[in-house]
Amino acid sequence: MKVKVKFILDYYKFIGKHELILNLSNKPKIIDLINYIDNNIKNGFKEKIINGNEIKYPNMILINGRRAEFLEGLNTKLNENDEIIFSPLAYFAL
Amino acid sequence: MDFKLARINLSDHNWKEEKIDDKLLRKYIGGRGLGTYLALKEIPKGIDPFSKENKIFILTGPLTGTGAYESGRYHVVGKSPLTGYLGDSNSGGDFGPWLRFAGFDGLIIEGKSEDPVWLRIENGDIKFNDASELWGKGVHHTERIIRDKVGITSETMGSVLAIGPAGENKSKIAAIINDRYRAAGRTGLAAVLGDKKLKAIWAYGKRNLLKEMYDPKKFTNEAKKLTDKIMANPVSQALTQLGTLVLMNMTNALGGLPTKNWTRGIYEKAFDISGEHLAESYLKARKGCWGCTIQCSRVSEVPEGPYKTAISEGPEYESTWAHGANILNNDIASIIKMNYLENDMGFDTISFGNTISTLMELYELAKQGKLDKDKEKELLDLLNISGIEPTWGNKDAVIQLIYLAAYRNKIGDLIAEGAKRLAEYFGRPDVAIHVKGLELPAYDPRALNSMALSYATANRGGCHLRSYSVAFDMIGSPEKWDPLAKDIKKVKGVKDQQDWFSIVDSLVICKFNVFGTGPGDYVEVIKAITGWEDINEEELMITGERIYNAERLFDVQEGDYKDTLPKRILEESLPEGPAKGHTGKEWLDFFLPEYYKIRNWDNGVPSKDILIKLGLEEFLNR
Ligand code: SF4
Repeated sequence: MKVKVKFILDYYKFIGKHELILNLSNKPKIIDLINYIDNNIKNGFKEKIINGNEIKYPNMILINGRRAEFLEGLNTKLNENDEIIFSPLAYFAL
Repeated sequence: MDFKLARINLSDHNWKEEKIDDKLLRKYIGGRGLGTYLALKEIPKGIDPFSKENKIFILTGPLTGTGAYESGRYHVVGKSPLTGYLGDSNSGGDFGPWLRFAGFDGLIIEGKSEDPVWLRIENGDIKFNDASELWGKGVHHTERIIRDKVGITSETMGSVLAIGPAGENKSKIAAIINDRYRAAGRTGLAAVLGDKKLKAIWAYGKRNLLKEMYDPKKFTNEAKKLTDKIMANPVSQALTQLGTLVLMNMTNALGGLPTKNWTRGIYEKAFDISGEHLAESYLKARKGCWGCTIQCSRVSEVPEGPYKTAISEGPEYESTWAHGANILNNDIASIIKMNYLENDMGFDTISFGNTISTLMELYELAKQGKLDKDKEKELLDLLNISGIEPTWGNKDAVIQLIYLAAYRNKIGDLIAEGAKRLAEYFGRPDVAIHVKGLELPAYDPRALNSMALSYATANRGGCHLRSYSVAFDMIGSPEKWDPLAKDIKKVKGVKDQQDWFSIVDSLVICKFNVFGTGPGDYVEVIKAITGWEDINEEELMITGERIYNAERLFDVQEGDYKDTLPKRILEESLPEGPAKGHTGKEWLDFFLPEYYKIRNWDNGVPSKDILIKLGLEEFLNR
């Protein structure tokens, strides 16, 4: 199953790419995607973004533009062609 | 506390000093609050903004230039030629502090000069100077000439505030620019200065604000505590690192980045105009306003190519969006150039970009035969003689339009009027995206729903700075809100933020402070400066509410005032993304009745009860 993953700000620097298309095995959740990135793309990713079952403040994970906290958190199920964004924080623009 | 204003009469080139009574100052604080009071008191109801009776108040606040964190700003208030209501705008840079060091906490600009003038304000004195040789010149050139004349070329000494040709030619979207790149841009008050023939102000002096404080020692301690708290906040650190442009990818991800004149909420090329991309391409350094160590400003340079631009400040998020996603332009080099030129000509970049996207849509409609036949012909003929083909993303056309609008040449004469008047002129008011005449900034309220209420109820019109509820909806600070939830608690959040931001603009400090701090954090600093020993957080919030109601009173007394959103935002839903299918009407209908209830307003008009409770009864029958 293909998903599009985008990395913003510090994560862009950390991963070295703004966007990746990843092939995941069947019925993954957002936590599986984080594990996949940690194991296959850049070690240390998981530690940066989550703490146990919690998304570390002030990180933000968006699934198709919806914040994970307002879906099912790290257990949010992913579907074919979903777009997932990892950001260390959404900043300000006054 | 001594708060000294200079009343400057441009009609007879005279000035006098006036002191603001301490009790009055405490009631309105300074900056935006004091400006609103003065406007209610001194600007007659119903006047033409270009009449001699309109006034411009350029005001600092008790915190300006004190070294209390991020206090290098000033506020401008007057009747807006763009909206017809009370206009105000805030700017950073160095001018605010230097005005105070020059001996004045604010200026009341009144009357009209026969010929162009510039003011030299130094150490408690004001001189009127002939500005004929400056008239017609850009802001950069003007600053250079004035610095040569006063003999101070170091940019760390003294400050120049100026209008460009846009202000001189009374463009309703003209900005007052200080320190070459900092704009009091919103609501077109530069056009009023242009009408009064005031080209520029130089401010310099050696006044020691610390010596005038009630308790300088306490101030030093409290200001340090405040600084530590602000700098410990992750947002402050992030701003230092990344500036404002980092928001581009996030707003886009939430489906709320207005694209193609607000017909979409996602721009597929947003990365090309993002902070991440700027950092890899044209970013040179970062910079800050006077006394600020966050330094959120970006300094960029385009070293070669068609959009070659010297080292200059910007572009910020709003300007980049307005000349990027909203006109389908993903070339960041061209945006740096446009930003530079608009600063030099003296335009508000948010309003200018929106006016261009309006023109591009009108042109598309004309090409499709969807304008009234006479208007279609008029538009195409006008564009033809102007040598402009404003197709989506045509960046060279935008660059030409900056000059045409600044000098009100050909099609530029209509661009200079702003989006609302441009669209109305060609019979399609629906394609101008504004609230009360002020063009909207870069957040689509269909995707960030509390902004529907923030925009609709913003006193000065389409503005994200009366309440920046994006902070809740998108950033999750100080509280996390689902941007698509119909949650009634958002109403109080917006109202409280409007009141608190009124204080921020009156103190006058930077709004970037306030994500790490609240009203309570400023109480001790205010006491140390002013000697208002019994002031507390509650009083500050009531004062904020007073200011918000006072502004509203000015506006409703002008008549025909309505809290609403542009037709497109109200009625058309976004075609894609997380907010697909939602309209602004859906959100506004849910929030607005509750908002009026907690404000104690009757359909947008403050009740007599609330006005009396807030001590505004003297203006009831203005
Ligand atoms: S945070 Fe940015 S806008 Fe605010 S005072 Fe500092 S440099 Fe100026």
